[in-house]
Amino acid sequence: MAATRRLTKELQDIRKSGLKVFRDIQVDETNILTWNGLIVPDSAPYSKGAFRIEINFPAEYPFKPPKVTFKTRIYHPNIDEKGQVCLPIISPENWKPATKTDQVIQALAMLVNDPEPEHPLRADLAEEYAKDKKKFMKNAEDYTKKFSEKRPAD
Amino acid sequence: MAAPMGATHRMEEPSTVHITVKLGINRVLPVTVPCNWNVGQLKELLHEQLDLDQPKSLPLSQIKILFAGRELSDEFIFKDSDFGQHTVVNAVYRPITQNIMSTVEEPHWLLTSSEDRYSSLVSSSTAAGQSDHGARKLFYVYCKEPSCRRIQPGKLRVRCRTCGEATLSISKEPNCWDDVLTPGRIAGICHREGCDGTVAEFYFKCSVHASVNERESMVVLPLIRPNTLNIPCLACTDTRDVVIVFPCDDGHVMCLDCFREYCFTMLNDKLFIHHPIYGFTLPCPVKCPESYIRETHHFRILGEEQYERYQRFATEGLLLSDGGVLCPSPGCGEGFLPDTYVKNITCLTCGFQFCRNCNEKYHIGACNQLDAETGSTGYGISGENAQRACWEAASRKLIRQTTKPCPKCSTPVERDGGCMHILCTRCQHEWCWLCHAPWIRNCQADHWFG
Repeated sequence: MAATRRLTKELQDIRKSGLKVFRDIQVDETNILTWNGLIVPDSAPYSKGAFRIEINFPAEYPFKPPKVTFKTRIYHPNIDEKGQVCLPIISPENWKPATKTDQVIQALAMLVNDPEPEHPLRADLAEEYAKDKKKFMKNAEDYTKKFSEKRPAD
Repeated sequence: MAAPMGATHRMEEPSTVHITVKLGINRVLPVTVPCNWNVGQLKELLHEQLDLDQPKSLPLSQIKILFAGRELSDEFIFKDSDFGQHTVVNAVYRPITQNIMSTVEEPHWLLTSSEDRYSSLVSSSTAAGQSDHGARKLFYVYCKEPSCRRIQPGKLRVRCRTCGEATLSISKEPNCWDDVLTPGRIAGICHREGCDGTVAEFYFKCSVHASVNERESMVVLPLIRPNTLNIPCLACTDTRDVVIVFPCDDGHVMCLDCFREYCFTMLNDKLFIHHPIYGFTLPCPVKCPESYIRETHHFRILGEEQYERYQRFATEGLLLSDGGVLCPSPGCGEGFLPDTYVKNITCLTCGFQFCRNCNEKYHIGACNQLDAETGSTGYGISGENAQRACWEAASRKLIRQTTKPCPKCSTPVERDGGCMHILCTRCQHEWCWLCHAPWIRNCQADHWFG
């Protein structure tokens, strides 16, 4: 199966290169199709915490894109209450089998650090972000303090 | 019994080579000669044989040995060449007369045969069969012989287009796919008695097994190549010996295992497209422009069972786009092209009578989609039938709860997350899950997702 061969290699490469924004990677040896890890953003208001995500690879990977879900609650215009995120790089229209998981993670970290209110999943937060940035920052920071995970020590 | 012997035989260097010499159309002479013999010695052997058969045979100097569209010189040594066991050569003993010379340009390299003039295109094709020549195998075919039924290295061969015999010497070597695949591009002279053939016809053979039927040719797969540049597969990133190079500007590379999986995934998701020129095909997986696979036999990589499915999908798609219908009865799926005004359709294969608009059992009046009862016949029914009806009713209920019918073709569609924009994989209709109507700009603005 292409998925297993490819993901084994990708996981090895990611662990070796030591991504700063993606830490504490946990993969069950019996199921390489599910990855867990912490997104560690470096921009306010999310830089106060870390956010657990799950990456689910389909059996047809890399011919079909992976799905990313947030397991930690986050106050973000592009991530909904269920943890679903709209990431163009992994949408079926844009997906390319040559795209590597580290590119997906980088794109995700960029979206977390720099919300895109033009393509929101939560219209209310997008509106707040656009109209009252100060209030948004305050709310997002409170939310981060309350729900996010501890950032791993460097 | 033969298998282990064959396996050990391949390990050691054979000291003799079995050659099949064709003399004219009907005479075949199998000979076994030492590997260090040259063509001149073979000619002498043949001459003796011919003398026994017909005492007034032609002089030795007029015998020509032809192989893959060229004459072999007397100095040509079998050991130094790619001659496999049971290679077929043609012996002709027809004097080349002046008037043939004048009508067809003399093939300049026919008279010489030094290795350097031997086209790489032709020589590589003869290399098959020996494993140490792997990188020289440039051609791959889909072998449809029951013992193979897979992609195999192929051998390029040439024959006379008029008589179909390999007694033709070509006037110019092929140097591109067009030379080989476009009929009539390369001229030649057929040396068979009674044949005035002047055009070469190229064809491919499977190099793995001896050909059962000499006239049989295999479909060449021009995108499949040896990975001489050691490029890793774009999907699994392994570097494999044989790869497919997509016809895009970048020439993206995929290993054959991943190519099979790519085709299978796309087939399951009904993402093959009907190209007006190339047929039911796929582009480069990186979605490069103008990268469609032109020779659809590449999809033979799917294997017999899935290739049949591929062919069925291709036919169904064409039929639906021409306004045809498919019988909705489970397990049937027969296609028809009924007149546009006909609403009541009876399947000619299974006899099911259905409504063209809703694909349900034929009814009078408006279509009620899936709410229609399973149909009461008015007859008494057996217990088994009653039980099956419950089962059917339960599946219908589940389908009704979890799906919506496509507004155009009524195919039940399940929405498993994602946005409201639905693309029907059966009829390609774009519709809105929420409005249950064609997808319009407002759908995007008001309820793209949610």
